Amino acid sequence: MNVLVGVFIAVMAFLLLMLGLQLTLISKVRRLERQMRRLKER
Amino acid sequence: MEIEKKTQGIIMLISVAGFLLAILCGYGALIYLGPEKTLGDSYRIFFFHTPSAIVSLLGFTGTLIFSVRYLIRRDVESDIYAVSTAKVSLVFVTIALIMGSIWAKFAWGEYWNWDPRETAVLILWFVYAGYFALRSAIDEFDARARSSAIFAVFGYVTVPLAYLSTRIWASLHPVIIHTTGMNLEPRMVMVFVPMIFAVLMIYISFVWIDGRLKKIEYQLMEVVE
Repeated sequence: MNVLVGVFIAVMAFLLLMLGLQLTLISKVRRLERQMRRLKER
Repeated sequence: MEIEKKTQGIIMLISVAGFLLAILCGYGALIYLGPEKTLGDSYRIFFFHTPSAIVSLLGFTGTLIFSVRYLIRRDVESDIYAVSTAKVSLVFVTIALIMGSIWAKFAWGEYWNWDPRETAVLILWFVYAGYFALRSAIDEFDARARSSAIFAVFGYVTVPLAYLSTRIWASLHPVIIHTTGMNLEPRMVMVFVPMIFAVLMIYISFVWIDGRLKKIEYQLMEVVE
């Protein structure tokens, strides 16, 4: 049982890390698209 | 611009929902469900392995669709999304292969047994790794996009081959999904089906991010030129 709890914590940590990565990348896309629009307007 | 903002919001929502659902299903798979009669605790890998495999095969179907679309329309967007779907699918199928090997060690005694399913998925893996090798070997955009699209259309034959391998050849690999339904207890289905949706949502978010970043890169190249 303890091993399974450990595995679950590891899986949860990995998934949260991936979620953080995705949210960071989405905001990066948002920022770059805004900059690209400005660049095109110029 | 409004549509772009809306899409970004939707993707953010899909991403958060996908990961939270995956954590919930992970709890279900590792803690809520009890051990299985014959396989013990090792069967729990199945809740991570199978959704990854299913989503990767669906993803390679996306690669086929975008490749065919590129060959018809010759547009940059189709090429970008063909690559993004192939890239993320290759990661997911690698995860499925690794988890499958770990499960095989518990169930069959060896990490690798050259079972028809294992062999077919390994062939698929090499075909799509070859897809990226081909792309990196050609510099000119049109030639690269056209060659890789044709490669992806022919390479897709490995996807139904991987799926049907357990039915065509004698295989030890368990067959969970039948035409008549699922070979699972109702409690397991309650964890398994949402997990497929969770992995699919995570997959869609990664494809969207990768596709958008590539699109920006392409637009930037156009502006610079």
